[in-house]
Amino acid sequence: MSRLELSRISRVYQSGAAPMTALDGVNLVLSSGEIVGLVGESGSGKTTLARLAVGLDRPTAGIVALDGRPLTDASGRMQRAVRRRVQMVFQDPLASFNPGRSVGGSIALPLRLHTDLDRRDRRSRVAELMTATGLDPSLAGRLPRALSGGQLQRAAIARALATEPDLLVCDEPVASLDVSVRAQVLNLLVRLKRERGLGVLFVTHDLGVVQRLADRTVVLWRGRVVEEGQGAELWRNPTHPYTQALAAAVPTGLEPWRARRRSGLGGAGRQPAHHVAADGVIEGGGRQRVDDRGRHQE
Amino acid sequence: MAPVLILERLTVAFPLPDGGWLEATREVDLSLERGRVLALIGESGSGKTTVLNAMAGLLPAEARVTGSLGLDGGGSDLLAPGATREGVAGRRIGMIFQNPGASLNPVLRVGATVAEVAAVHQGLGRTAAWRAAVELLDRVGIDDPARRASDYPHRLSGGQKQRVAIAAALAGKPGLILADEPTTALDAMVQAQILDLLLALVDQDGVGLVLVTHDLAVAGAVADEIAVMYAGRIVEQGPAEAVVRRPLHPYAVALAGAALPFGGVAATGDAPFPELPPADPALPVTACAFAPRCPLAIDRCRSVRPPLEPQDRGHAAACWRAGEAAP
Repeated sequence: MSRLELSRISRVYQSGAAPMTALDGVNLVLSSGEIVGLVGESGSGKTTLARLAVGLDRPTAGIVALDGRPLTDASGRMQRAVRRRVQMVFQDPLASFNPGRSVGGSIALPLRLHTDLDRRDRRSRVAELMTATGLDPSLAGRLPRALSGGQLQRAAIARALATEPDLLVCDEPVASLDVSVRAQVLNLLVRLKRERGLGVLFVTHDLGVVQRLADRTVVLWRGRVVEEGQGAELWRNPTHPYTQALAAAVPTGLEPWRARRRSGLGGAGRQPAHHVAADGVIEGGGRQRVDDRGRHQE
Repeated sequence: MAPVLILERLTVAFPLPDGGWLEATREVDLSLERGRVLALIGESGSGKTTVLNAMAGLLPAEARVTGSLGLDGGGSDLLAPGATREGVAGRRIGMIFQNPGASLNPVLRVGATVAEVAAVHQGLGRTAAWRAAVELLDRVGIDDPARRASDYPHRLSGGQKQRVAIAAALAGKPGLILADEPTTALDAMVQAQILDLLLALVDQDGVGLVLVTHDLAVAGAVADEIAVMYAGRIVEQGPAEAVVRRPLHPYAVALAGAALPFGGVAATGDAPFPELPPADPALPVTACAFAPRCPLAIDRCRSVRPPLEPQDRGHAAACWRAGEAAP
């Protein structure tokens, strides 16, 4: 049973004249056996948070701790034994593989770094991992570009599982996949949670996915957690105006746009009533229509 | 009113290294009137982007293209190589791509990108073209357009870049806009704004919009009509509401089942996600391409390809067992 705890995390980037606050006092807990959804729009800080959770980045303030111990030492380095336990899967599977190395070779790499398995044992372990993620082990000799996006993303999960991690951080793992393969990857995560007790932090902007997948969901807005709730419950009754706006902006079928087209409220797409955090919020704060507590401003 | 788009029997093939041809689309017919939205849905490799690129004259020179394209009641030889660059691209068709960052020149001020199109297609001088560009940027919802026109693309967010790309597409005063996954790279709220903007252009200017998307929820929300593509062919077509609520083709039924629309979900996080078998890139000529994966396939499906035939009030499907798959 592992527990990753991010406490009062802030991350400020010093770029150009003005410092940019990506995260501001964020608390987040991820435990074995649960899938936690992390949602928010571009610029909300969700990828920064994901990178902090696996030690790819260090917070400006606050503590990232695994089972009560800091993830990184004073110089920002992670113990190999700690690194093994928290792994990451990135959005673009093709970009996350070495294009010149076979898929099997990439999956074997963490085994070389973290285990003392010999070459033959590594090979059979790679085959096991590929089978476990629904891949034919005969694909091990292929280069990444010879695999489909869905196959490659499953290979990325196989590689992340090679060190037998307790926790997996996935940054938009299905955003670049077709609907036909998206379900395979999502079902795999659900199966890993059930069968191995894997804990998953699932970063996404796709509410349709998170609503079905996550046991618990954290809503991030402008670097702050504005709402947190259980599974689908959060979306049945969102309380924060930003969460409500986020939910209202998603096309749900036949109604929203058709109704507005009929009533002539389409306008030029500028500031429709329910689109709270419009471009302005993420575009340097030029047009803010929600204040820091999420109240609407005119 | 004459349709703004009539595409007939479009077949596009690309040469293979072994000397053969890969047919990316086969005998695709589409038509669209002004002020209407047609959504083309399907997965990677279904041929939907090839259809769009063929209409916009953006296919590579080695592609083999047959069929006819009529725009705004005009000529029908626009698919022929060489006829496209002047006749189609820009003047009567505005094209919007998935990645707004890649469709803008990074070293050109965004106003100049829009002004260039206005200058070429409306014959405007330098000053008038810039003024037209600022007006268009205002039209697509860019705040402070006179100042923003002087910005370079990297200063803009993804949503703003897509607005600029739409302004550039409008600068050619098109009767038809082709949009290839225009909101896929954008967040839900920005997506909503861009869809609002496109629909405003359809409703107010009466342009026709062909929207390529893999998102059934987006198609259902904004389109008047939906065409579903599989393995290079349209396998189902009809009024948006009918296709979304009562899909007839087993592939369309499976696609609807695999979609994960937001809202109204009773299931918990442990519910398995319905899987949909990926398409086979090989395109059989004599059989239904979906037959190998179809739960309803019968012998006939493997020997005779079903034609796209009307089933119910403008709702057509290419299936011998149309309407039998349970949604």
